[in-house]
Amino acid sequence: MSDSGPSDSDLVALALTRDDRLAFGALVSRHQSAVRHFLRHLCGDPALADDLAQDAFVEAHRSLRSFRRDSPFLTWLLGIAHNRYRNARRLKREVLFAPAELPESEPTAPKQRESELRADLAMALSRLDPSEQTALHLFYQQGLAHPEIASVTGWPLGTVKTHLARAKDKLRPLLQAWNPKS
Amino acid sequence: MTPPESADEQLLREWLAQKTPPPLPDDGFKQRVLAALPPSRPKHDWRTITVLAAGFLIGLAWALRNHASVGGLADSGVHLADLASHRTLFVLALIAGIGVLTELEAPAWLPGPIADRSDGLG
Repeated sequence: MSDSGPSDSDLVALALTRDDRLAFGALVSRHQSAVRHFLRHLCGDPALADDLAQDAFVEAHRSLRSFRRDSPFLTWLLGIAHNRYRNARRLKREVLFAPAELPESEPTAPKQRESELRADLAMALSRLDPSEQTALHLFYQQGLAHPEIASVTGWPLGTVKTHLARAKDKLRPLLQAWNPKS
Repeated sequence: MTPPESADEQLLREWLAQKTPPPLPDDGFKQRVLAALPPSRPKHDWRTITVLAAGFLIGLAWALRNHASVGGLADSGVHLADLASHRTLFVLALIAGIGVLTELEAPAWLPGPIADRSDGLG
């Protein structure tokens, strides 16, 4: 994500010491997609997600001095985004997920078409607990490690692992039905 | 040592990787964020210094020009009363006016805070 150009830490330093809007703009450009995807995943509404993402970046700008370089900037940013989401939910700005358990039904019969697989996967994911969805999203799609997920969400490390394990347990019937090796 | 990935784990990783949406285009998002930021910290130091330095140099040149004929700069102190002349007051007012205008809106040629430019680094 930051393969070329100045590092995130360099840009943060520029934004801090010179109040450099260009440097902060570069950080926004670099991370806007990840933050907006994360919030869209959390709240499901693209417009609300973008509003929250904007708030998160403004908050990040205000709190830049509290950024510690012992974790990636994106992890810190996603943590702010997650807080904005929780605050919004607390204020009941939007009804978010309708959590539902994956039914204990018989495993899905093996199918061949990719579109059906995607549809099944989307349905199975939508039935996970929101916390489990978030853990899966951050782990598999944002590529964060367990401690980073803990940092973003504020959950204890053990809770992160539990959410991931439970999510995988719930997806296992689907996985086994689709896995040609099983 | 990382334990080997189970078949389920591998499949889940592949599926979710496929489900990962492509990067979102900016679509003006950065500009909205930058517009929502609080105003920059006032950084008039350089402008103020530039204006004061220019004023000092103009004033010095003015003093040297007007008093060189009566014994040089060392003697110019005795002519302080000349500062009350209309032309001197006009020049001083002009410099003060430029200073005030500079504080209100900095001209492009004066150094100031790094402005936002659309061609971002990232």
